[in-house]
Amino acid sequence: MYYRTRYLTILLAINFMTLISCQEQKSPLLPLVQEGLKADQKTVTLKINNYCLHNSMETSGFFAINLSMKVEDGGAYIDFDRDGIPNYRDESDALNIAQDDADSNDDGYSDLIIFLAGISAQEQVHLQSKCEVHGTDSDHDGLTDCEEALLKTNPLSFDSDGDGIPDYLEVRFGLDPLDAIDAYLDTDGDGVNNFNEVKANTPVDESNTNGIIKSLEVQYDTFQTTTAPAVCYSYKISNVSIVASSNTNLIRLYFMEKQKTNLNNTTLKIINLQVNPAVSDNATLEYNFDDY
Amino acid sequence: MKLCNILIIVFLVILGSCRDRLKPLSRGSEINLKEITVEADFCTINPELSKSFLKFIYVIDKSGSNRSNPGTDPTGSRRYDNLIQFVNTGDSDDAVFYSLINFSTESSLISDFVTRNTFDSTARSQRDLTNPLPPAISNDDGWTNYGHTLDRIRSLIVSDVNRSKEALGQVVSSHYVIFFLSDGMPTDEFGNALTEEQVQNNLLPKIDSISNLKTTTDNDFDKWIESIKFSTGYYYNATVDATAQRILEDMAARGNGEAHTFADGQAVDYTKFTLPERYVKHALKEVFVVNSSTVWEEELLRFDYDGDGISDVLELSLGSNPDLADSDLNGVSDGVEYTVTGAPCAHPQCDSAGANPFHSCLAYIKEDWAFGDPTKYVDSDGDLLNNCEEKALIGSDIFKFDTNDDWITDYLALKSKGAISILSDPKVSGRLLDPDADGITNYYELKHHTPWAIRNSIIPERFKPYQYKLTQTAKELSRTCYNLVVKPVMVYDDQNLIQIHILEKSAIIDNRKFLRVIQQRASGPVLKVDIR
Repeated sequence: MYYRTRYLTILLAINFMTLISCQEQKSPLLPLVQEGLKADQKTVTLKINNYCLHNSMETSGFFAINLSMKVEDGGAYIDFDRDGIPNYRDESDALNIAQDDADSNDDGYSDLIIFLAGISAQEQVHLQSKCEVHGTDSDHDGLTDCEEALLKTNPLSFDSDGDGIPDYLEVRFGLDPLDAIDAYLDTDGDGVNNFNEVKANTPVDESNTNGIIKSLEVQYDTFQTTTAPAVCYSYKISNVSIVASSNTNLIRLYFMEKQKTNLNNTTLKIINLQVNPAVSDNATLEYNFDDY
Repeated sequence: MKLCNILIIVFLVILGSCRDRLKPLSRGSEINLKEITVEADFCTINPELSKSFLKFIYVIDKSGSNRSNPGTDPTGSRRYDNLIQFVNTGDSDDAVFYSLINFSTESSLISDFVTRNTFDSTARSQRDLTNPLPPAISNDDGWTNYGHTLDRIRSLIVSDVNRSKEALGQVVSSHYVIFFLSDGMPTDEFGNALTEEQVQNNLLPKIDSISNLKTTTDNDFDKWIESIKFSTGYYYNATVDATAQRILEDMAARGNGEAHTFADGQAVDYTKFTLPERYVKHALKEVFVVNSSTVWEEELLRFDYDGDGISDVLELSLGSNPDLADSDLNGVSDGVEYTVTGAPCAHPQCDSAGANPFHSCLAYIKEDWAFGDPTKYVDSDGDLLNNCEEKALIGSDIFKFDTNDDWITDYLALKSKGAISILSDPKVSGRLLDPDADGITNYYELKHHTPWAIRNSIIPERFKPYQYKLTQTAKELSRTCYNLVVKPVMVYDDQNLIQIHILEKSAIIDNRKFLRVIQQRASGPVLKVDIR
């Protein structure tokens, strides 16, 4: 109940600010950072034990992303519907997006895609492709087949451009899932290239020296626990931000593997961890890979 | 593009006006080495301003079956009423064009691409011809010769691209949307229905040859065509001809389009066909700040008054003019000539008499060029390398500012003197290599304005790497705004020419790339640039 009330207050505040920002359109310099909307953020460490590789495979990438928040504008912001657009931006009649629905117009294309492409509500009815069957995701990368058709990515490959970042994460972080080069650019010139920005859960087009972003970078440690024939790892993911959202924080883990002898043979396993926002600050949470 | 031209002119004016004020003897002396801050406020390009053309091709069945008893559309209202309404829907857009092809026993081009108002009257007069006042009779007459029609569609697109290329200096690409409407079976010019074999072997390949224009790299068709979509509409009365319907469906599938049917006298509903997204927000991909009045030579960052990529000191020893970016006035800058051929001009005279004329560049001479004007050739892609430099010397693409798609423009890659390739596959273009083994890849050497071939640890400490800080200032519906601070930027004296290269791509569902280069002379400790 507490969260609900606060949520409504935030909503009202956003509406009010939208009004103001509409009038202020001529001076886009007006800072969008509203301190009051920043997430109440805690930090935890996650440990994933007993992650064992498939036979003859080796690791080719690992990402841990908190989908319930978004780091931008110098801080961490709550994203209630986990669509990649934080609440304070996720309410727009012009775009027909809402903060409690990841596909507000129910057309099979997530609000994130609409938002990134800036397609107005009127134009959304004319989208090049039409989604017949919502929700199917053949390659389980987090982008539905409909979305992949619109983006022209490969619906059967979780990493269409082969740059090591799964298609959905590229979209979420504003990268191009069909451009293998942009992962190794450093758009914001902060010394953290775009690939590592995704790993760190930080924005690609905003320097991490801005605000408190530097302190929000997620860090990774890998410990190999057993050697061949059964290669197993323990992953430690530290400095993971947990935000005081009204629902649990959804941390999605991407385990990518590729065959040693055939680089085109790749696998992706996704694990969703639910973390209660009431978790105590600096807690260490342990998980067993086999349980998922 | 125009802005770029204006900027270049402004730069030239400034260049001309400030030459006298600089004292040549002391200029570029290391005593005058300073650190300044460059600050830029900019937004991604509003998609309204960077939109591509949308070109409709309406292909309408005028065969006799439209009027013969009981015709599929004796009054023309099924075909034309909604068309007129559809064309007039929404705000007028000067980047949308309409054309009309009629077909029956043969096909004819009724209207080449025209604006909305002109097309509106064409469509109305076509409706009148279909349903004229007695005693005149409808102009619906003849067979349904699809093959002839498809050839005409293709030639319409080809001639439109060629015409656009001649009329426009830079690439403005087009989406071609084809609505092919018919009430029945395709025939040959004698009225014989096409056999299944003829459909497979003659008809469908013609659709491929239309679609394939999009990927034709000859004559740069691929750059001028953003998309081609071939959709079909089948309108009939009470009984459906399943074969005719299937053929139209197959045609649409081959043409990346949609097939819709309109039964029982229902009017053709043009709103059912989807349209390409033309207003896609842009994503910032890359931004580089460069002081083009400085250049790395060995472990020294040297002054380069004319900004041609060769320092004043080196130009004096090579025999070229350090005050002129193109000493021999042949339209190709000293720096490009030096990098590619090893000599900036025909030394020692370096006058226009000894210049290499580059005959292959005649087509690129600017229309208003007069002898002595240093900008002789057009720069179609706006990357600061003109078409002659790209085509005759470097071999790069005159219409692509980043020929090999590695997000390092051809101009910046050339500056790296081979460390980053202009042409080779982006995965091996050298961006991620570190030939001087200082732990800094070529990409970061470019970004931080440090030398490619010299370890950063042994360059004199007074030459500091550039540091970037990028902050978002606004996220609007159709654009994102940024504040960029780069400091220190190393300058000699005043009036160094600072370039900001901003690279963008239309976000995720579109695939167009954009480059803006802003050039301004620095004066004082902070150069502020506002291009919002």
